[in-house]
Amino acid sequence: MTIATNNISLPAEWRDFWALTKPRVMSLVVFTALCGLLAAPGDIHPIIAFTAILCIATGAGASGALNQWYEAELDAKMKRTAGRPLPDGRMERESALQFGIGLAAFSVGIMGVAVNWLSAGILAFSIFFYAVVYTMWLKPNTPQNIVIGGAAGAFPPVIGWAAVTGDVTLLPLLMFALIFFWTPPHFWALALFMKSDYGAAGIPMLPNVAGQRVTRNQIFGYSFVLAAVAVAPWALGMTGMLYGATAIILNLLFLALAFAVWRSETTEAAEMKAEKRLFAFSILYLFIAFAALALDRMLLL
Amino acid sequence: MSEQEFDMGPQKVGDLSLEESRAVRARQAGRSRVMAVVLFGLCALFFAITIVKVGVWG
Repeated sequence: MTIATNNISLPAEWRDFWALTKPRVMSLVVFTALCGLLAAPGDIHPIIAFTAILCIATGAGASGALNQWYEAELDAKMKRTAGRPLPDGRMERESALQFGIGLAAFSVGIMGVAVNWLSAGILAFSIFFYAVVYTMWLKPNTPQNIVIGGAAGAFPPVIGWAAVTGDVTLLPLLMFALIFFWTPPHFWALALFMKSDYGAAGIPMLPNVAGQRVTRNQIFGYSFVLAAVAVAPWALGMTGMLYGATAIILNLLFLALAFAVWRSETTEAAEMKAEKRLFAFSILYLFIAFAALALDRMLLL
Repeated sequence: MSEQEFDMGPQKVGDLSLEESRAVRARQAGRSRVMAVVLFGLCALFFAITIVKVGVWG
């Protein structure tokens, strides 16, 4: 914020730095990482486990800050993001960059020294993938941005697992795949009713580039892949019936909601109830699926 | 030292008015408090990590 009479910038508030870290996204990251950590076999000291989760959260915050630094001008064009600290003029762009780089270096460094270097390496790669591969390269250039970019959000349970075991086996890869294949239907449901927002910013989201019908087909198609991946840990004998039953029920509901989206022909955002319902349920879906998986594994181990 | 240097009341920042100076100081104070809490938390965490690493807490 600038003091108009003197043209001097007010220092940003601490709340603005907090907002840069995208706290709501961070909460999902922390939760899935914690589930990966709890599902892993082996022991980890609670202090080291806390440090691992803190580093993953900080790494996610770094990704969010770097994303907002790079996309400040795009964010200003979208209603949903125009109130963020940078487009709203509450913070200097350079401060966001320095904050993001600082958080990234801190999270990777502490993860390596206190936990292990495999988890630190995956954390570093996930920050790079989100900030550079997704934000700078994929998002402005291809409607497949969130398909490939979804990998960035899929790393936390793998990092949580690697923090305990020091390796990566099939189950953490299935947890990765669960988030990876969950991301397209989740974001495309949002993009359907936020189409004009993304269009105004010139972001090539699937509904803007390929149209609503193709997007609805893709959402429904990905929901089947998601269902197969979600049931796999139980089908392959890595979890018990608790997770198996939860996964089956959740995916039947997900498929039913995706079917409603597929059938809908609505083009008005205000009337897109099925799309909004799928988007809201998809968040709940991920929380319940990971909670059930972690709980099931804790009972098994 | 002059009397003015001991004055701990709200001071003007540069050419800003007293009200603008207060806004700047309030934000600086807020950030300083948060930074103090974060640094204290990190000190405690690093101490705990060290104790765990040297094996005192198993």
